Amino acid sequence: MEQELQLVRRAQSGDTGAFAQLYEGVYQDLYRFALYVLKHPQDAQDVVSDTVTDAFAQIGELRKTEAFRAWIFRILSNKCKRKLKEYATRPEELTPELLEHLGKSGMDEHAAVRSLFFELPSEERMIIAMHLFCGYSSKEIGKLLDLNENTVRSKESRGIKKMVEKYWK
Amino acid sequence: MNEQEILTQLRKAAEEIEIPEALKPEQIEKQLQEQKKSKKIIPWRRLGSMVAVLALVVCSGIYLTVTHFDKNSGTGQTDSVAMADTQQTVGETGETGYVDVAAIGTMYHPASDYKEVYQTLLKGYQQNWIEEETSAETSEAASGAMNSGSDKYYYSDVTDYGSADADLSEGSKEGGKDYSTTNLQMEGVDESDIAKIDGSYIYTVEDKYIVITDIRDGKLEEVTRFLPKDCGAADRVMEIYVDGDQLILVVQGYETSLGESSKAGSDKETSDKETKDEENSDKENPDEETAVSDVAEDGAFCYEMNGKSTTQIQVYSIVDRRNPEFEGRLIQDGYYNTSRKIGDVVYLFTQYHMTSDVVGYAEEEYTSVIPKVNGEKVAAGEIYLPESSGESGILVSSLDVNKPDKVLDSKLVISGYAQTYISKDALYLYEEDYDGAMITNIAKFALDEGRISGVAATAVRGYVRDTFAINASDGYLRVLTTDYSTEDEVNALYILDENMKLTGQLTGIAPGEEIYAARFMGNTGYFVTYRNTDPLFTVDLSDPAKPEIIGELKVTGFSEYLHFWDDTHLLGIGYESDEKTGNIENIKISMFNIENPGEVIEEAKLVLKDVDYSEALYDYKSVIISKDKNLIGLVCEDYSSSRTKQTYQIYSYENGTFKKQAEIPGINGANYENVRGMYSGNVFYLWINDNITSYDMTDRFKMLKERE
Repeated sequence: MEQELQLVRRAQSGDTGAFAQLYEGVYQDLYRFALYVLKHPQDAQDVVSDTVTDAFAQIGELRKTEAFRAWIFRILSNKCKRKLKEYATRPEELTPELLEHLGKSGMDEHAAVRSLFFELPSEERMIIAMHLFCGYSSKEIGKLLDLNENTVRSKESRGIKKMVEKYWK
Repeated sequence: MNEQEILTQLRKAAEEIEIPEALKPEQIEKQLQEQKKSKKIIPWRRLGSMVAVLALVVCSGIYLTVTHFDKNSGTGQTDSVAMADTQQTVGETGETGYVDVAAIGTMYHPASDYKEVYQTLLKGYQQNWIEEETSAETSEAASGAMNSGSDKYYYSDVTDYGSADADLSEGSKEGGKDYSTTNLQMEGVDESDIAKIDGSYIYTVEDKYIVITDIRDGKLEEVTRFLPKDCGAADRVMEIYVDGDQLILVVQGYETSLGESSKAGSDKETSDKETKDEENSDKENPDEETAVSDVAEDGAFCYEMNGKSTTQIQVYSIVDRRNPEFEGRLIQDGYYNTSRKIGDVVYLFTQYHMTSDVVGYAEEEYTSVIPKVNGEKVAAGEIYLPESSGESGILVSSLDVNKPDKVLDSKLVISGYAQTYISKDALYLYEEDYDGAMITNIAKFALDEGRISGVAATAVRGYVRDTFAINASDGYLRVLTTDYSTEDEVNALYILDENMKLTGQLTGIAPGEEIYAARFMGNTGYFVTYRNTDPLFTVDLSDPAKPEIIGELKVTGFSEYLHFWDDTHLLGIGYESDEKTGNIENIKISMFNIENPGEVIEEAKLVLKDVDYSEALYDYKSVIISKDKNLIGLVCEDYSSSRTKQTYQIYSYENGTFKKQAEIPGINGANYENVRGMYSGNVFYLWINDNITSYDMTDRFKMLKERE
């Protein structure tokens, strides 16, 4: 904690190295979150990159260091939300791009679970991803998505149930 | 495979994903360094961080009282002016397809004592910095009312309301002066800036110094360079005002105390010591005991630390430009937000983040969280609290520059992260919130020769892009918003009267687009929305009950900044976009003919070659626009090659065409905040960082001199 405090202070003074260190602690999850939510590797990358720019510019507003992770995720999730709205006009399909990108990695079982996940509608994906990567509580997720806390829980539960059902098919 | 296992697998699956090279920390660090140089920051993206910083202020109305506080007597007399409990249902979703608008109640009530202030902040702290889910659950009950969103709103009757100026033209008219002035949002409301000119001298903020340069008779000579009084090692001059023989500085001071003073023992000692020092030295030299370890001396970027920042207004007499004489000051807690000067009164706004003090002190010390103005704590009756909790405050104080040792009035409004819009006689604090929907709370305070008094508050649906989207005229407030709650963004215009009551609205404007730029002139408003094309809407505001869109011009690209060139022309600075793909291209300047507001024509446009970005888009003070001198000056950036190129370019407009008049190179690597173009007579001055060069406006901007 002390360490993070130092880094935040330095980053607030404009120290890019310090910010990069803070970033290092979260960047993988940032990308994973964006990718899981947007299903689009290039967009996910752009959105994380934009988040970094904004976060660095506004880190002066960060008041308590434990919240760096939560804070930067908030910026990211809002950008993802906005991006999803753009997608609303496009059909949600697993693009060949994405399949190829993911095909490179790991186990078959993981791939299976991932593709089940990607079949979920964007809102459920977003909720589950927020839970998995940002560490938000249902209440916090509710605030970010303008949903009632109970709605968040039931949507998440429904999404996970769907995945379980399909898994067994 | 059960539910928990699925999640675990999902998580594991995620861990296998390759992260793109460009996002690796080393690359990101490089990217940030590049951006730091070119400062490509787009303020609208702040939406995300707004959510992070907001203390979720709840809306359920109670009342707003008008407090008359007599500074001398030290007692607060609260006149609870009649509370009208007005329920107003506004705008239901009708067949027209307009979005439902709820005028939601927002209340700020003056605190009855410091304990109430403390408790409000404590709640704010607890709600927003919860570490475990359990503590979240407990505070849930307390904040049960949080998202109930009642649709009543209340206001006080204001009987004595200063008359608003009937004619508020937005152009930067020089009115007989032959030198440039700061590009202002509103005429009659002066704004501080990093550079000023008065026809005989140029005044600039260079690092920590104020520098006065003589420009009379073709000279360009530095005559004075001085530090503000009692300048600490980490202090910084933010902006200045110049009026006749008075020079007014806004100085940001720092005290590096840590927010988490309860944690490390030494930290608490440091902050305790500093508090004591602050109290002792307030009377003499407020900045003397500053502990300046770990504070950045980088003049370019100074991000302030927690709560113990102070900001000063220092007034100097510059009858003798070589020997400025200090006359007095105002000092208040908080870090500098903005300031205005109306007549002889300067209003200083600081943002005061308060909950870091909440955790560090014992509960009995309620006064610990109260900010000070000139060494005295703000009285409870002058602190406006939101209904449930808050974390941050905007502190505003007023000062008569002719009597600079006496603060006229102060008000503290606790809320989330509020923005300000200031007209000639009122201050509007607005902040984003959500209460089932995206809303903006607006609180109005009347400004009358330094006296600041609460008037009313309300909320409108949607978020406000920037201060140009709000405008006051003739007692009415016009607010343009974009609502992102729905599938497609949708925009709206609300008109509120003196008491913040909704008189008229237009909803459902340009669904799927966002408001990008706006400007108002009297009873006509112009605004731009964007997704692919750039409708420039003209709205007729002459009937406050029935605003009407009377024109819509579709062009490619969009404007980010609108400026009245003259009464019949509107200049737009923005981006061009490809008609088919919607891809954003270069910077574009457009001249709209608004002689017939219902039929606006794009009279001319010029896509600036090789210009990818300009600070002019987001910082209106960085651009100089003058019809009198026929010039438009802005900093231009070119990212096309591997090394970013920065130039200052000047354009003119005549006979329906834009012409490039000058391109001044050589500001690579310069700090973007410190570039200003100014003129006096026929000489154009360009100030970059710590250098001023002059150019002959009658001879193709031939370079004349460099400052000695």
